[in-house]
Amino acid sequence: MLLKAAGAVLVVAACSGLGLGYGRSLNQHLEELRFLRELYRMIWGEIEYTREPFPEVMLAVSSRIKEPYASLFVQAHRAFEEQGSLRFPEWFRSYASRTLEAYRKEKRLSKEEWELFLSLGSQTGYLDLRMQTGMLKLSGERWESWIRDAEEKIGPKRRIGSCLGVLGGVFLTILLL
Amino acid sequence: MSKKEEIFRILPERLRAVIDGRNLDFDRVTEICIRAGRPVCVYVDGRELRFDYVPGREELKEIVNFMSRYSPYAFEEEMRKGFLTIEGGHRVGLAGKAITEGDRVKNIRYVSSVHIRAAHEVKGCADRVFPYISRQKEICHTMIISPPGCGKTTLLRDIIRQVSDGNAYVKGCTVGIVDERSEIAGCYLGAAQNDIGLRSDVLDACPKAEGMLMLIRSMTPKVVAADEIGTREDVEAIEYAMHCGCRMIVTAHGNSLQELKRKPVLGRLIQEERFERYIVLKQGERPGMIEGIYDRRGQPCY
Repeated sequence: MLLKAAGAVLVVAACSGLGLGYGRSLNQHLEELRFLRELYRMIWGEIEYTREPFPEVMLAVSSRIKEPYASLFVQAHRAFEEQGSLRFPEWFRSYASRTLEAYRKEKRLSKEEWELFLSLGSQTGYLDLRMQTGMLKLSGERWESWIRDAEEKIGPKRRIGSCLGVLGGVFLTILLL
Repeated sequence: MSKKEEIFRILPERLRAVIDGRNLDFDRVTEICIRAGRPVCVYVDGRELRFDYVPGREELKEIVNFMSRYSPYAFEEEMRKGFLTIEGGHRVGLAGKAITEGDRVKNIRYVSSVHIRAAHEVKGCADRVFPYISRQKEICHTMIISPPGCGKTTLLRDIIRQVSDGNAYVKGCTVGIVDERSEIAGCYLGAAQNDIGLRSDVLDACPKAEGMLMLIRSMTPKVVAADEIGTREDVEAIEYAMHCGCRMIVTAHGNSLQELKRKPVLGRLIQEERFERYIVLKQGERPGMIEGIYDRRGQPCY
């Protein structure tokens, strides 16, 4: 009897843990979206106020951001230094999707969200400053709308996740008993 | 990095392959002209070489992206003036449709022509003028006069380098350079690409008159150098620099000292004998040919 009770507690705890884990991953996703919004703001601000070329902006921003984005930006700067005739949009897309795919999955970024980040390379090359910063601002607004959307949904989703976890545990226990 | 590598860094792959196919001696290449829908021309020692390859608008756009590192906005001011300096100090001239705001050109779009002028330093080209433009180990106030394309900027650059480093005729001293068109130092991202000496400070892409005053106030140069002076503001700044005890080395467009004397703004400087030496260059088989060196009264001393 004691063994059954211990087993039941373990099953309920494990299922509840799964539910809580789901809630935590939703939180991480929201944090990542917020970070990417900040990243775009940093790039936008750096271009607006220093008017430095894009590779220099990436290097400056890299010292203020977390991994693996920092390494990606340092690598982008290095690629510009090493190859003069670098096709940056293509390089950025291929390098980022190759090296950051596992990270994307870990942070549960959707294909659409990731696509916006990968298109950072093709959002360069505008003739004037207003156009260039405007383009980045527009992307920043898209991150903003995704954040709002995620913030609205995260509460109920987290609650449902936790409840389903506990209930699932209880249901499984009854079945096993 | 060699001159060839520096220039090839901004060219699309196909264009690079075409130019590379001819095995040119890049040390003798003076200019590469790339026009949309027209054959590519390369000038070697002033001789034109035409290639069969006809680049399209896309390739010119790529060149603009490569040389601005996908950041044309960062070079808005340079592009507004119609040229950009790339690594190595090479100048890339642009032509296309001008975007205007009021009466002012704001930028260039639909770039249809790109002319790459290879930087060429001729170290030692000022050796023969130093005995005439120096006195008691100091440089005289000197003006270099020549028509366009005769090598006055190249001569000015070598004078600056030698004054800055010091040589048998002058003691090395600080030189402040106002490089409005990035031709003297060939600055790329603020760093001089040409050898301008140990003790030189450059104010790149800065209006001459304002730049001279800024340098005098902030860097205390012994010598101030500027290229292609001509406006009233330039003359006032030169007078101010001279009053501050700085030695001036400048260049001006003109065919002769007499012609310059007749010009309303620069003429006054010459009539007031502000400059101690005038180096006049002439058009000849090659750039840098000296017609004469004159003293403050216009008497020849070479």
